[in-house]
Amino acid sequence: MRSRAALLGIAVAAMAVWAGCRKDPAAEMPDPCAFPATPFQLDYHAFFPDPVIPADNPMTVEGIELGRRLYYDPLLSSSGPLAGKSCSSCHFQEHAFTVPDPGVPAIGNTNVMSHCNLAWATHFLWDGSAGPTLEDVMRYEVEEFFRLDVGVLRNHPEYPELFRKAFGTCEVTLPLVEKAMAQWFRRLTSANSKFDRFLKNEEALSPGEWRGFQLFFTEAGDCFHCHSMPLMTDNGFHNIGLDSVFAGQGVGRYAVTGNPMDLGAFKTPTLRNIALTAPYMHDGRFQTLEEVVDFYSAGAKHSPSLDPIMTKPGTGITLGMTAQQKADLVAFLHTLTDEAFVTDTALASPF
Amino acid sequence: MEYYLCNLVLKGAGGTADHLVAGPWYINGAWPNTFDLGVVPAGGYDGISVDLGLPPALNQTNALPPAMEHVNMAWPIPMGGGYHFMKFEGHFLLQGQPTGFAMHLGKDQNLVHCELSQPFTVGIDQGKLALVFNLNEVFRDPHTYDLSTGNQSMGSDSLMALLRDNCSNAFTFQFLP
Ligand code: HEC
Ligand code: HEC
Repeated sequence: MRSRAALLGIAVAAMAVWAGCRKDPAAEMPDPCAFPATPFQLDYHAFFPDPVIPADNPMTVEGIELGRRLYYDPLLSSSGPLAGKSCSSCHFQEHAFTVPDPGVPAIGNTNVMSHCNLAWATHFLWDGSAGPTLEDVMRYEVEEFFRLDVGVLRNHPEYPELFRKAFGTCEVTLPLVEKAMAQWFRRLTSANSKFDRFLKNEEALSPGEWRGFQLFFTEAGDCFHCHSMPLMTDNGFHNIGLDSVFAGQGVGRYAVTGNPMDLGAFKTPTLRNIALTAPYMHDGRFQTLEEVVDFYSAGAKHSPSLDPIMTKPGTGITLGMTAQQKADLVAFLHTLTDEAFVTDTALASPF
Repeated sequence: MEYYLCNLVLKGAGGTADHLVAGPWYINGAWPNTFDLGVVPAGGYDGISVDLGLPPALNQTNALPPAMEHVNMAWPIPMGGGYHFMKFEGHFLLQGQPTGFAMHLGKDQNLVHCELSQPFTVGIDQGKLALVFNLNEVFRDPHTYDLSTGNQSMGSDSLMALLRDNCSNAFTFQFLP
C-alpha cells in the first residue's frame, strides 16, 4: 500500500514539472510515517563466519530496541494460550537465555534452548523444524506459539511509534513484529569467554582446563567434530546414543525428514555458556555437566542411526575416560562461559 | 561426504604447456558441485592431475575464509591445525550390527595426488570435465582397507596413509566437449 502511494506521489510530482512549476503542495508533504532508522553494525569474532542478514531486514538500533522490548513484554502473549508470559519467562539472560530451574523444563519435558549466536543458525528448535532464517522461527514463536493478536500492539499507546521508528511506517503487522525480533536475536552474540581470550593469547588456561581442551579437540574426547569451533556447534543434527528406541518427541529430526537415519537425531546445541544452561539434552535428562561427561564416557547406546562419529576407534561407542579426564573436560567446558554476555545491560529487560 | 580438491593440472600434449587451475574447491556430497575453471587454452591434452586436500599454504588454521563449511572442516589446533582434507562417514555391518565409520584424512603428508592419463582435446567452445570419485576404490586399491579395524582414521597416521594411497587411484574423469 505504502509503496503504491509513494509511486503516485512521484508521478504527480513529475507532472508538476512538466506543467511548468505549478507545484502541487500535497505532493511535497513529507511522509508522516517515514523515519531514518540508525544502521547497526553487528560486532563479532574475526573467525566467525559471516551471519546471514536478509536484505529486507537490515539491523538498526531502533529495530533491535523494539525487538528487545517485545521479547521482554508479557503483552506479547496476552491474546494466546500462554497469557502472562514473555519470551524472557523461559529464556533468562543470566542463564544464557535458558530456564534456570534444573529439573523443571518448561514445556512437558522439552528442554529450553539458549539464545546465543543464533544469527549463525540455519535450523531452529531441537528437531530443526523451523528455519532457515530467524524471521521464519520468529513467525513460529509469535504466531503459533504465542498466537499474538497484533491488535494489542496496534492499540497500544507506545508501540506504534516504536514501529514507526524501526521501520518508517505507521503500520503494525505480524511480519514487522517478527522482523524486529529477528534483529534482536542477531544482536545476541557471545564471543568473549575465557576460551576466546585464551585463543587470542590474552589469558592462560589452568592446567586442568588445558588438559580438558586437549581432550575436547583430539580423538581422545572427540567432541570437536560436532561442537566445532568457533560457534561450538556444527549446526547439524546427530543421534548421540542417548536412547536405543525412539518414540514420541524422542524421534527428533526424523519427525521432519522421515529419514530413518535421522531417528533420535537432534540439533547440536552450542556449548558456549554451557555451565549456565542446566539441565542438559533435548529432554533435560542430565542435571550437571559431570553427568553429561559420564554419558559420553560410558553411557552411549547402540542403534542403527547412531552417528558414525560416536563409534570410536576399535568400533566401541564409549570413551572410557578416567575420573581425572572427566574432571578436566568439565573444567574446560566452564571456560566457555561469557560473563559479559550474561551481564550486558544492553541485553537485559528494558522495563 | 566432504572433501577439498586443488591443483587441477591439464597436461599439455606434445610439449605444449600444462594448464593449472589452483582451486581449492570444497565438495559436499549433498550439494551440486559445479565449478567454473575459467578459460582453458584450446588444444590437445594428455590427461589431468588433481590433488585431494589442501596445499600446505592453505592447510593452516583459519587460512580459508570463515564460511560455515570451512570452519566445520577445521583440523583442531591440538592435532596440528589446518583442515580435514576429507570426511567420509557412514555405516557398515559388523557382525550384523550397523556400525559407524568416519574416514577422516588430513595433515600435509597425506595430500592425495591423482594422475589420470587419458588424452582429450579442448575446442574453442565451452567444455565440461566430469570428475568421478569411485568410493569403492577407497577400500581396495592398492591396500585392502578393513573397516572392522580401521573405522576411525583421524588419530592414526598409518590408517590415513592407507586412505591417501587408495584415494589416489579412486578418481576417473570424462571430458565432454
Ligand atoms: C514456556 C517456555 C518458553 C517461552 C515462554 C518461550 N520459549 Fe523459546 N523455547 C522454549 C523451549 C522449550 C524451546 C525448545 C523447543 C523445541 O525445540 O521444541 C525453545 C526454543 C526456542 C528457540 C530455538 C533456539 C534454537 O537454538 O533453535 C527460539 C528461537 C526461541 N525459543 C525463541 C523464543 C521467543 C522469541 C519467545 C517469545 C515469543 C520464546 N522463545 C518463548 C521455551 C519457551
Ligand atoms: C556426534 C556429534 C557429537 C559429539 C561427538 C559430541 N556431541 Fe555433545 N551433543 C551433540 C548433540 C546432537 C547434542 C544434543 C543431543 C540431544 O539432546 O539429544 C549434544 C549435547 C551436548 C551437551 C548438552 C547441551 C545442552 O545444551 O543441553 C553437552 C554439554 C555436550 N553435548 C558436550 C559434549 C562433549 C563434552 C563431547 C565430547 C566428549 C561431545 N558433546 C561430543 C552432538 C555431539
